[in-house]
Amino acid sequence: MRASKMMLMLAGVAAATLMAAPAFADTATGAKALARSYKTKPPYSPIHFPVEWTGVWKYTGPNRFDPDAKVLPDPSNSGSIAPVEDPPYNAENMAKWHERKRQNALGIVKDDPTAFCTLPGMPRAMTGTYSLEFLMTPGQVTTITEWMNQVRRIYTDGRSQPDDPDYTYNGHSIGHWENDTLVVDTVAINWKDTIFDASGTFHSDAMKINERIRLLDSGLLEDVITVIDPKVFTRPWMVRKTYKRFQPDYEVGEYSCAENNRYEIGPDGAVNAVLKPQPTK
Amino acid sequence: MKKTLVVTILAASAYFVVPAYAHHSFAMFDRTADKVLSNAIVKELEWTNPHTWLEVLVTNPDGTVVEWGLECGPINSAKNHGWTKRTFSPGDKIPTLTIHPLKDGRPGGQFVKAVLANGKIVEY
Repeated sequence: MRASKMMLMLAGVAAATLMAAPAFADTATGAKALARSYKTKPPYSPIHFPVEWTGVWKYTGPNRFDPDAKVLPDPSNSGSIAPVEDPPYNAENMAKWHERKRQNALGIVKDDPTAFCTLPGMPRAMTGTYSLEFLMTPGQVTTITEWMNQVRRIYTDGRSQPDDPDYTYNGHSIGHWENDTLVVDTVAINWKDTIFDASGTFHSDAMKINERIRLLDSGLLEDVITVIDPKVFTRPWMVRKTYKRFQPDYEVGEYSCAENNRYEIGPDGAVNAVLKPQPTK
Repeated sequence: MKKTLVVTILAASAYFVVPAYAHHSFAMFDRTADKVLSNAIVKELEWTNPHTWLEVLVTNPDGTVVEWGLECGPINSAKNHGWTKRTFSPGDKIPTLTIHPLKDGRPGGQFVKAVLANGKIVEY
């Protein structure tokens, strides 16, 4: 009895929804409803972007920050990707980097927090692996990095950087259009827990990132990334990344890193595998 | 123009020797050595992120049974290599299973290649 009453109620709700649906098909009514959903007026103008590249993109080139950097030989085949040329570290931080590079040569990248499922953050979100999805909506460009399910929001509604931003993995990004180029500035990037790539290159809390993203005539999407960090670098560090479109049938997979992360810090300080208990007789 | 070409070739050659995925370093595995496990029986294929894992049981000459944990690719990469969640099922026999063993000697490693009874080869 109670169940059938519930069914009736559900049917009623469904009918009401169906009746309401045609009203939203009317553009004018839909726009009014949309406007009413804001407490104040929408924070953006009706024309939001001159070029549109919503869709799923594939990183081209190697999975590291500087795609042109030659990497050191890796005789132990450990996955080390230390660049031959050093990043533009100042004297103090070059020493720290060289120690990290020495560990790299041993294959010990114990300073890569993503081994324990933290977000890659910026700029790694733009240089990762698998797919990079762009969603362009009024007032905001959103990227979804398939690796780690990382969502990044770039505000294009004209707001400025916060006066005292919280430090986060992605930092705080605002964007504006210069002709057909989306220019993005990012500040307040978590400096304790993010690195540039698996080589362990690090930055400070002063890091600012400028990106110039545009669609090339070739159909590639380009992101020219300039990193400015006066605390650790002697000059801006600039790289150019490109992405190509996935076929429309490509489905972005779920990536829940904590699902089955069988790694721990071993006795030597490096990441090691966690094995299952042996079968009992 | 010529310089651009050289840089491109360098970048391309580097791409193939560097593992596409860098969730963690591979230092825990001895990737310069192949170890062969004979007549392994599949216990489970963990179809999970950040890696899929193949758990197999191997009987030693003295009759003891050891469970080996083998790291395989993340789901996305595994799919790109033609794997599905049904590539290995519990009870499947793998006559010849090649791995990069853990350096510390524990029964685990990185999956390299399986040759099945019907001659089919599964690689990662």
